[in-house]
Amino acid sequence: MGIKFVHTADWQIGRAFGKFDAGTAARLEVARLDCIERIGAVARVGGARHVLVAGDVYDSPDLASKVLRHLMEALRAQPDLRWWLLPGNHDPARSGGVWDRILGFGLPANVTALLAPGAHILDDGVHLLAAPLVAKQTSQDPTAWMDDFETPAGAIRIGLAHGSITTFSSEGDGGIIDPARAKGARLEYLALGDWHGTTQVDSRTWYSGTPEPDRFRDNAAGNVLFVQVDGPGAVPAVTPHRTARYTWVQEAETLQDVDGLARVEARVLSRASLPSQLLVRLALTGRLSASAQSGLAAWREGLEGKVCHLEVDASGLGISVDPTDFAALGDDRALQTVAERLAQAAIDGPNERREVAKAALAKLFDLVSRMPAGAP
Amino acid sequence: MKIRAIRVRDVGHFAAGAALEGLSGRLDVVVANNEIGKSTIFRALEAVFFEKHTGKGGRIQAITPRAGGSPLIEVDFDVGGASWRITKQFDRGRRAVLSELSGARRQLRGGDVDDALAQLIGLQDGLPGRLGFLWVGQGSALSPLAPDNKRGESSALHKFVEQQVADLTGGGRLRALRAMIAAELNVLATGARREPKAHGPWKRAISQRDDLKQKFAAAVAAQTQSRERREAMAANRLQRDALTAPDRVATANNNLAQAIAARDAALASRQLLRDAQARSHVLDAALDRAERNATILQGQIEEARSLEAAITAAEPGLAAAVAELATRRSAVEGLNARIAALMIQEQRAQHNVQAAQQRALAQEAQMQLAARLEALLAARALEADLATVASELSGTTVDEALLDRLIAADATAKRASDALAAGAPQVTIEYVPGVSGAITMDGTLLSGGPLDPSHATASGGRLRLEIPGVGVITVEAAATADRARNLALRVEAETTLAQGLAALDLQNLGEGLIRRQQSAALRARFNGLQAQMTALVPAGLAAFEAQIESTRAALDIPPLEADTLDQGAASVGLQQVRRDLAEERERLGSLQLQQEPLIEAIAREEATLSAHRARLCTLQPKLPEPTAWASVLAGLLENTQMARDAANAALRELAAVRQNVGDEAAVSALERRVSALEAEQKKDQQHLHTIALAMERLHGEEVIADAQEVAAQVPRIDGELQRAEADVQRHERDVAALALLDETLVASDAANLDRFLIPVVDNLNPYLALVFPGAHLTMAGDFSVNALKRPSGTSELNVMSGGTLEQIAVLVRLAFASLMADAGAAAPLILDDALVYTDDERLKLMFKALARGAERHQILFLTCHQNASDALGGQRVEFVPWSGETSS
Repeated sequence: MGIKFVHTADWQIGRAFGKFDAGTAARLEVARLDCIERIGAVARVGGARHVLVAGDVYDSPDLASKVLRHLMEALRAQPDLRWWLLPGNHDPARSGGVWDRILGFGLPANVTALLAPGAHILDDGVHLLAAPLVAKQTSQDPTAWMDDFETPAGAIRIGLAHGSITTFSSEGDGGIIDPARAKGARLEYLALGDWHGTTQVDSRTWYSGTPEPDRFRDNAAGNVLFVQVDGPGAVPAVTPHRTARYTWVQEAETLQDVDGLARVEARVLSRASLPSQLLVRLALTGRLSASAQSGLAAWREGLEGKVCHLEVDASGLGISVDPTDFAALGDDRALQTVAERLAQAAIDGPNERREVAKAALAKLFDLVSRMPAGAP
Repeated sequence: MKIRAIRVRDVGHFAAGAALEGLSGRLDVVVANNEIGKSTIFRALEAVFFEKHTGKGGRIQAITPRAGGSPLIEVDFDVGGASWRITKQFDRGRRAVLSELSGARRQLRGGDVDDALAQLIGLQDGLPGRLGFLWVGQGSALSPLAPDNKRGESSALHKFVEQQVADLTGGGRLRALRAMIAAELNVLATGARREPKAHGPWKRAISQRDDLKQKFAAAVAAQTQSRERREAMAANRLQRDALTAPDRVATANNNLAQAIAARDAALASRQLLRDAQARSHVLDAALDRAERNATILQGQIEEARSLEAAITAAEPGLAAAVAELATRRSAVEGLNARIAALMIQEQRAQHNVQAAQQRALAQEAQMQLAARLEALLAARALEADLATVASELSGTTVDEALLDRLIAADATAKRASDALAAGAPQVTIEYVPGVSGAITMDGTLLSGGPLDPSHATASGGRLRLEIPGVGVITVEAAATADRARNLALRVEAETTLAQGLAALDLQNLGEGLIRRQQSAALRARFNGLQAQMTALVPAGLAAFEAQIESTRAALDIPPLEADTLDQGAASVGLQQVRRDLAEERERLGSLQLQQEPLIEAIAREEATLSAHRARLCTLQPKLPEPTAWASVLAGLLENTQMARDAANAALRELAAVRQNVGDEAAVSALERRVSALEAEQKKDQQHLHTIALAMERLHGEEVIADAQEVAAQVPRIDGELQRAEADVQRHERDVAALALLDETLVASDAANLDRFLIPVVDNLNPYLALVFPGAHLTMAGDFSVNALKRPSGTSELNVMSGGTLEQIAVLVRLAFASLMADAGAAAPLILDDALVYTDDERLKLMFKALARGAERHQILFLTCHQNASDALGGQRVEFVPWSGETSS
């Protein structure tokens, strides 16, 4: 007696990417739904018949009905798999919530919404102990009841829950799930959701992470876990499978010269086989000469054309004053004087003026470079 | 560049061709009076160098002759070491030819000409540029101090100046940068205040952000509403589920069923009790009826027996009384007949008495009537006399007062006539014997003797005595005051008299007096007749006649029974009859008094018997035959006893049922419980209905909201809002950066200005020293002149005289022309009557300056001042005819 299943979580279908331009936002939204098919493929390839979704299936209780239906139809389209959906803090099982609405228009036959704490039979001798969240915020460990919950002797017990474990604190909110729950509740495996990066808590406790990343955080997001439990008491075999379409890259680079831009670009582009599936956030620090500052915009435009999305934070990038740097201004002593004054203001002017001075200097070089030939 | 020849045809005043040939290229002076065509030459030069041959603008229209034609202009000029000829014809005959007159002798035509020409003479963007500044048209010399950059003048001048300032070349780039900054800022922000420009990207970003803020607020509100709606839906669903929970419904139904069963059982028992009570009541009523029937029948039988006995006992006495009464009534009837006969006699006797009285009265009345009829006849005769007299009187009546006034007037006239006659001349005619009638007066032959004074009076006191054959003797009374007064009195009196007689219709006064006497006599007679009439009929004739008629009517006397019966005998007969009648009436009264008690007794007895018989008749139909009275009574008593037994049995049954039935309060409590349970179920149904309606409404609202997807847009709009805010900040940062850059450029520009102007000032000062010794000009960065500083003081531009202004304008242009010449781009300075306000002394100095300038570049001086220009020197150029064709 054993069982194979796919553990996934935090689909957050319907998540809006309003901070991105409309086209990018639409692509990212669609990618989350498209991911379902790849998750199904992972299950089929491994010979699993069950997909356990550990919460946050939907991003919000306020989604339009058609978004709710789109997912249900995507799941209905894979009838060879049974999908176990657990409400999380984004889509808690509360009155009037997203699940009420879904139940209103009916679940597909191959889908089970786990709206109340309790056990379900996955296969003969395999019990799924589901701990849905019924509110957006809770201070109670939703898995606590599993310790005392009895199943027939020799049964395989799989736990399914959503929330941070109490040892996590990086999210800024207190964890609620006891990291030792798998042991205390005699679970062969505890499938958790909420943490978007794939994370192993112990040999029986895992966060699958979100199958399609949705933010700039280097936390191994974009996977599902293929889990195999060979029998009661057996340590599960857990294998991450990449399902993400988009790669979210967050890089920081300290620049000393304009060559640093090329370096960071090469590093970024190496993160994905297709640059168009890259979303990039760069934090540039260090110093660039005034003329290089003007080239920064051009470089940025070039990289922006390659990747799906680019954000560059150059507020930490200083400006260096080098007399030879002003060669781009030609022999025009008057312009050189202007550039010197702006550079000085960018370096030691009042704080609130430094950024403006830096931008003015970059604008000077930009305008000079755009002056028509034959101009005085 | 130097102009060597200018030729025009069909240009302005020059409809026929004219040319200025052989220009020296130094100081060339064209002197011509106004209206000859100097300015036409100036405009022709502008047109040929600055206008395309296809142009149709104002400059072309200005040189087109009024009579029409296609302006043809041809100019020979040297530039860049080569000689060229530009030929342009405008309007319908438009063409352009640029020919090199030396060297390669290239020739260009049509559209290629303009670009090539611009390149040759250094025009940019098709604008006059530096040439525009150096070519000063008539009338524009007073406003040339700031180069017009719309014509490219300023830019061109800057270019040349910068070529002279080797170490300050940045000035031009600096301005170019400022122009680029201004262009970028102009897209984003308003001028000085640097606020978001309408329709600009900054403003659009702000609008978009603000719009998104509103959308975000709306979406959040919609989201809240949607959540509240869904929560309400869930709450309703919970309530509905709670109300329709099977356990709850089953319990409620069971409770209701039990309550209904208990109530129905109680109601059935109560019905049994009510039935027993009803039966007992019915039997009690039957008993009462049986007892009452027996009692009634027994009473009726006894009453019938008593009535029959009373009737039998009363009948004999009644029959005797009736017989006695009949006897007495017969006697009364005899008396009544006697009294009736007496009453007839009494009436007849009474009639006779009255008739006798009336007859006596009628006889007296007839006598009175006869007397009155006599009086009436007399009165009527009197009345006729009165009418006759009255008629006569009306014919003789005069106005007594007027007649008196006429009598007085007559007397006055007579007195005046008498007085006049007394004063009239007394003429006596005494004819000599044998002579008579020889004197006439008024044609009347006068006899001898004294003349009647009245003649004199009648003729105004004058007597005109005519003696035929002798003459006329006029005798006139003396004119005294009395005479005049008397004459007036007489005239007035006679007038009054004549008018009065006419008014009274009298011939003379005597007739009036006679009529007065007749009238008085008639009046006296009338009064006498009236007195007789009054005595005879004091109330008037009509009243008297009415009285007679009344009397006559009263004499309608009825006839007497016996004409012979007199009034006394009739009275005696009447009295006897009345005595007999009184006696009989007394007897009748006595009989009637005796009869009345008997009648009353008979009536009473008859009434009693009638009542008994009537009652008996009423009872007899209800009663059996008298023979069956005893058996019927026995049967009734037996029935009564049976009814009593049944009623007692029913009472016992009622007592038994009552022991098994609860009281009314218990039944009511059961009914109340059923009602309460039913009300509870109804309330639940109503509540369910309300919930269903609410859910339906909420669902409908949610479907609409869901379709609109507003609530779901919150995160998306939030993100878009953040991006829009970032956009706004980016524009703000860009504007701030551009503004800072511009400020920095301005600061740098100002610092370099003085040095930048050095080459201009260097070229200007030699000319300035010639005209304004010891003075220098202050200029702005765009080469506009600010002021003239002289040892005696500073003159601002706006207070300079016209002469000073035009002198400075020419000197500044001389300076720039020299500067251009130094830069190897010499251009002719063309002045068209540019010194019109300058006095002679200053004009000489200006001529010196021009002569010095002409050493470095060409000056074409167009003027109408023949004498003054003599001092200028240079080469005088005259107009010569031109056919329109020039040999090459």
